[in-house]
Amino acid sequence: MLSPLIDHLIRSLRILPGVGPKSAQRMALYLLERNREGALALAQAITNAAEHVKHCVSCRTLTEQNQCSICANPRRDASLLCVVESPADIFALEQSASFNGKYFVLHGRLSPIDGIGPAELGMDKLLERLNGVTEVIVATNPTMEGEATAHYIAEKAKQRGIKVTRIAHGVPIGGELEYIDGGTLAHALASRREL
Amino acid sequence: MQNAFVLHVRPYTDSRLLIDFFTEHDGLIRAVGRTPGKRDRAKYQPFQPLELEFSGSGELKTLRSCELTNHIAFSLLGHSLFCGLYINELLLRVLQADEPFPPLFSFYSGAVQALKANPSHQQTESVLRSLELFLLEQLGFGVDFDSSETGQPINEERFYFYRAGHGFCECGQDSGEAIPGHHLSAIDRRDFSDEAILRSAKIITRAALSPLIGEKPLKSRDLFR
Ligand SMILES: [Zn+2]
Repeated sequence: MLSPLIDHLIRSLRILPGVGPKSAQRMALYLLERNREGALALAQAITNAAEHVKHCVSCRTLTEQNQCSICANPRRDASLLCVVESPADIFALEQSASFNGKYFVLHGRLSPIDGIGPAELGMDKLLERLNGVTEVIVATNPTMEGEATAHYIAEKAKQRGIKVTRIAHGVPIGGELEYIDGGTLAHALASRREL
Repeated sequence: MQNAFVLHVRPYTDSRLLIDFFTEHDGLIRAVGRTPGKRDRAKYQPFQPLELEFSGSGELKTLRSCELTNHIAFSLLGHSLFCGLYINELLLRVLQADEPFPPLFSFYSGAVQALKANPSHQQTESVLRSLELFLLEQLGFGVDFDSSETGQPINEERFYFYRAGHGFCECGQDSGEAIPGHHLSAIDRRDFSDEAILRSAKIITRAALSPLIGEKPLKSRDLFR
């Protein structure tokens, strides 16, 4: 029988994705037996982040500032706006270091059956953000819902005379055609470019 | 093994998905399936013909196997995709789970192919109206285009309005949703060659479906605004 405090810690760790009862127990014991200092630092970091991190007023990514460092950076091209589903997508695109515009985070995708329509996604906020933008790059995921979201944004942006592009989803570098699924190949073919 | 389409997927646990399928022989079923690996992410996307096998007889089935039969042919884009999402939401709203509708399944499959083949406004609207009318028939709420609610034959020269549960009632040409009699015979033949006929058909199917859809409007309608 575990003491209430340890039991509570184990149950709290289980809110993390992919953490089952066994690994939660292992983590709890590790923190308590081997790394008290780390445990306290972790607790402090979680408290600080959970209390102070909010959404950037311009792009809605996670930040403790009012405006995130990308939005506040005057060297980034404000006429290019890349629309993504989640803050994790910004991290991925930033790592590629190949985009110098700004972002907008939808925090989801259109999914009518789940009750998520344009209003729930805050499309009105996105449309407000389009002032001064000359090109919208839609980087939603290559799922049916991501595709529907891209189409919706494209229609609205085109009505405002803004150029709309969609990132190509296709063959990964190092990928061999015969091992790539048909859906990906179809996408790659549809978004082929001239050489 | 039977043919099926995914209507909707949502996460269930870390490694499992809750999937609503429209199957050829069992109608709407809800099953739990393992989250696919990177290789076959495409597997549980809607509008792709699948072959599946499940077990269990309760509300929640267990997926035994599920394979794409041909997944390049069916995926929808743009406006057709919005229409497809609307159809999926409609079916999930009005069909009872575990009730077989084999003719509706083949109609659905044909509708998805038609949306894919020709995404023009005329075509997509015709597909939606035909499917709605077929769905109403299958559920026992078929619209009677031959006679008015009083049993009089529809007169091509006159005007009518439609009330769900009652039928067509003759009215003046100027009243709100007056539909010309010749539109009714065209819709009965599924002749949607004219925009005006499509508009009339939409008024009728909206009204006829509304008691089945219930209070909460279909979210996918917001996509078309
Ligand atoms: Zn920002």
